[in-house]
Amino acid sequence: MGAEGEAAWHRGIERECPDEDVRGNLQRRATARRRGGKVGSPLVNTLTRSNVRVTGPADGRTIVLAHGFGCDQNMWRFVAPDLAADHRVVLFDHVGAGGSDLTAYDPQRYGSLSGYADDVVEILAALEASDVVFVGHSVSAMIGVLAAVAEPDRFSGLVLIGPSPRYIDDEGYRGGFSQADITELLESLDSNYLGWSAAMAPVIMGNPDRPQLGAELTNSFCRTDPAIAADFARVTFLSDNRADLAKVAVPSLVLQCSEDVIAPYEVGEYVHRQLPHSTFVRLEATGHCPNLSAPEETIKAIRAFLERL
Amino acid sequence: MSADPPAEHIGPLTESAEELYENAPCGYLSILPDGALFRVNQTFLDWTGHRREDLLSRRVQDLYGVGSRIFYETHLRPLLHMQGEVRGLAMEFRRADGTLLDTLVNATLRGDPATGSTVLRMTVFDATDRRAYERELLAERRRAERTTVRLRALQEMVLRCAAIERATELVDPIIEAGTAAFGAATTTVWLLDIDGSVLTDASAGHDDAASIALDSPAPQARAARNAELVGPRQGEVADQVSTPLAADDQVLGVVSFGFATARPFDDDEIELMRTLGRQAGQAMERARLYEETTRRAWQSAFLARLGRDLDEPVAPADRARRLVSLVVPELAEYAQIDLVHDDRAGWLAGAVPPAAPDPVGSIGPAGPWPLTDLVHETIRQVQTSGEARPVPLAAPDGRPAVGLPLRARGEVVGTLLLAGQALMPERIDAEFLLDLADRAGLALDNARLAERDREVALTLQRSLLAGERPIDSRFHVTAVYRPAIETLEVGGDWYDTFVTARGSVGVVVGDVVGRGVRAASAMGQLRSAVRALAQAERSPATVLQHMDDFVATLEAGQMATLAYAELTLDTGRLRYACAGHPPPLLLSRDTGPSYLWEGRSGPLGTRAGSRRRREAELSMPVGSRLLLYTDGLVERRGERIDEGLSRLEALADRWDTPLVSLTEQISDAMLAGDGGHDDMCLLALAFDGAPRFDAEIPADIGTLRPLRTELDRWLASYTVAERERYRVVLACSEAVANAIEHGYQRDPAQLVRVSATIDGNTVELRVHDAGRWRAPQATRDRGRGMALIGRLMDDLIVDRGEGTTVLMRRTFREAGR
Repeated sequence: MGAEGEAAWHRGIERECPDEDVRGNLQRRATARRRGGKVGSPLVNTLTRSNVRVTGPADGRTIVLAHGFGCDQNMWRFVAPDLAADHRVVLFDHVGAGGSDLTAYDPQRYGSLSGYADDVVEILAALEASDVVFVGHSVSAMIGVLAAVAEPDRFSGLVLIGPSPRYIDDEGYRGGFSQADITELLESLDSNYLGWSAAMAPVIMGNPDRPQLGAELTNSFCRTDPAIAADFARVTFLSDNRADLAKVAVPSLVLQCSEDVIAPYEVGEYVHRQLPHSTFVRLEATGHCPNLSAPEETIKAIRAFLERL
Repeated sequence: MSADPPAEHIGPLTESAEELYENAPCGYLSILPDGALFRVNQTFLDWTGHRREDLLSRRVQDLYGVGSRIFYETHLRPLLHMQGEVRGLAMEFRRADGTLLDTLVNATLRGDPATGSTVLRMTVFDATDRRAYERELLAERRRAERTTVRLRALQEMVLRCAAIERATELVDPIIEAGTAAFGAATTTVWLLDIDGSVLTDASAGHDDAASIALDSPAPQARAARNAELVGPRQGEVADQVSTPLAADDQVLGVVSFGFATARPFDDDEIELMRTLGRQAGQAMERARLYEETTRRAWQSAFLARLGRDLDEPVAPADRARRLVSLVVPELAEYAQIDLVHDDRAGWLAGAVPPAAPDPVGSIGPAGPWPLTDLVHETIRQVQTSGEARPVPLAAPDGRPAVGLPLRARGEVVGTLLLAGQALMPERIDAEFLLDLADRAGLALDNARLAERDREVALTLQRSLLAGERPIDSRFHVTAVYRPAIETLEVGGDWYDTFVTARGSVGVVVGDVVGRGVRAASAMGQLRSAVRALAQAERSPATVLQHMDDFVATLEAGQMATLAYAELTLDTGRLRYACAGHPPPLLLSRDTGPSYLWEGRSGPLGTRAGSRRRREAELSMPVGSRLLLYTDGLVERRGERIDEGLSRLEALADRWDTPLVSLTEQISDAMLAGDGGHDDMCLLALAFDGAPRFDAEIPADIGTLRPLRTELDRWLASYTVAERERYRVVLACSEAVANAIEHGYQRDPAQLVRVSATIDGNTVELRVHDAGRWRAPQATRDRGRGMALIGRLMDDLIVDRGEGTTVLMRRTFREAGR
């Protein structure tokens, strides 16, 4: 069994195993095995692990574009070229998505958003980037918040597109989803995970030792390992980072779409109220992905923010 | 585009584009950029149960199930933006009745270059059956994955168990396997006790663990009774499954899995649980076998050591003490031995407190615990009733204890109390403890019997050795007997001294084969026989020949050895004979020490070769000494006998040492170091010949002066220093004056006898009068004389029997020239 195959095999186990401790043990073992075979410098590992791509002038201000749940860095394909004209634009894939190193997936590390935030910090350290403006879409908005709280000196601004610190309604808080919704979502993810790859035959029928068959995807973008995607969904939709917002010291921009079913308007406003130095901009764009559906409007809002920094 | 159809198909094929759209075999949706539904075909309405007018005011994302809605926003829509189309994505639409419709959708963005607006066209295919099939496949795959996980957990357990040697340590891997393989919230290992009547929770690892009677209706008990898994029936749910822990056909216990919530179990899972029980059972059986083997080996080694170590000490109390130190701390924290009195009338109260560090002090009341008669009786009854078993007790300090009967020769001779924890409790069982108690009982009883035997023998030997010694001024004799150091057991060495009617002194040293009472009695008979024969016979050889006849009738005397020597006191003629005995050592001032190797023949009763016994004869110079001894004096382990003889020769050549001191010094020196394995006897005869100084003077003060002169000259001839001579002469003069004055009241017809001997550098002086002591008025004078003598001499003994004998002794401080 190859490293990837074994990793996939373990993810299969881990998702099925109801006992947290045992799952943790299995995962740690699998991780240790996977890590045992890894070689190379930490720098190279960090950059290849997250499929980091840097464009634009090297002396430009560093802008990190972080994709959200469900896709990969292709999310920025209409935004990045514009910003790269006068900025050093950093694109990457979260581990488990796009061109990231799937073998680097460690359920323990990525069992909470802070694991993803650690990756961001590591990428920036590897690139020796400072004065960074982090642009996070969807769940990456909160990942950016956590990274900026962890290492405030590296950041000079945050752009949060469709942010939500908590998706589930709470007392005195409306996140847009009921507990029952999220339960249904997770069940649906569980049974529908084939949909993520849209390549069910190889995945179902194929030998799980040869997941590369599953990589022959009908859709060439937003490739996501279905098992990791399910984990990511769980981490994302069960997260609650409301308390972290107040800790952000750098200026931030909240970009809120109209009619966003994932991150409703009230949530964007809430984020804006909680962030100490934030600007709130409501976009004309509808849906959850203005970076795709309304790239010009998105770029304009980001540039306006950059100018004020 | 289309060919003309055959005539009979014209009817069904006359279809408008409208009809084709509405009743197409797929749902068809046209959607505006914000998601608003612009057009929906009838097929979609039929499938979902929605009404057209309701739908056209809604957005497509509102029709999705929650999962699909997020999928749509986060995945499908971004893909459309990037690719313009998506194919074969699984989406769930919510029907009017709230249920979900499984579909596969294809979607294409269609832009109008003129307006720049885009419309989304989506075809929806009913995928209910296909998704159901997929779900089955998925379920199957997950089941296979689960099975793999379970098998792996099981393999891991088997692997771990294979490396475990103690049965109790198997519990953890079994529990971990239960959790890893089946997700059990609790896995409990119940072990069947030795009687097979109670299941005890082995997971708890303490004494008050939960237990279940085997005949109870509990599922664990049922699983053990029927040797079959107890779980839910087909299609039912359960929150507990119990499977027997079995090796081959033997049930050792039960493994029960408890689950947080009741759930169904598939056949594979149930079968794996059975397998886990069997595998764990086999591992348990193997570990128990190993433990059993280890335990047996340890027990045999312990008992062997016990046997060996208990034999070392001789006295019963020492053995008991040794026993306690052997069992503490390995078998218990405290041990106590109570022994029955010899007369069986009661119990020996003196139990044995363990050697330091003293566990009694730390755990119990000071001193041994008094065991009540009831306890003793219980232990004895256990024995007499024939069912030997340890009797559980509570020690006075409350800790659990066990009482064991100490048995020997079919009797309970005492009790052994073991209290507190053993170092390795799992190594100890009732059978072992009884075995140990039996061995200990026998060892203690043997010691008791041996001691009794030894006491008798010792008494006997003392009575023999302490016989009256002949007194004659022409010789003196001293002897030393030492028992063997290790056993303190009475050996067969003996000696005797007697004077014969012929004016000779006989000395004999012998060695009887064997030990104890038999040997003591044999040497008593030999001694009497030698005495009797020596009176009647004229030569040592004939004495030995008659001894041969004698031992023929006396089994214990066979192979006895002896050295017999007879010294004629008038002439100094020494005749001697050795029957298989080490040679006598003659110490002469003139010629130095020499062994007497003549006159040798075999041990008594051997009758080998000629019956003739040899003897030898020599002239023993006045002042010389003769040593007779047994082999215990000169034999050492790992040393040739001639080395021992050489050492003795060197040690004996000390003329300054008085005879009594000489024998003690030789014994000490010869037995020092590695000596003393055997008992030994050393006899020394000093031939003084005629008394050095012997005078009889009339009880007349006038005779004192010549007496003083003569004594002084005599002393001088032995090179006694002048000042020492003065002291002795003065003391003698005082004693004689007393005899004349008070013994005889100056009656010149009476004689005062004076004799003096010198042995080494000690002078012994005797003054004897036969008169009756009188004249109390003169007490003061005479008392003054005695006081003076006391200061002049070391020893002063006044013997008033037939007359008065004053014995004075002085060891010279000042060397003569």
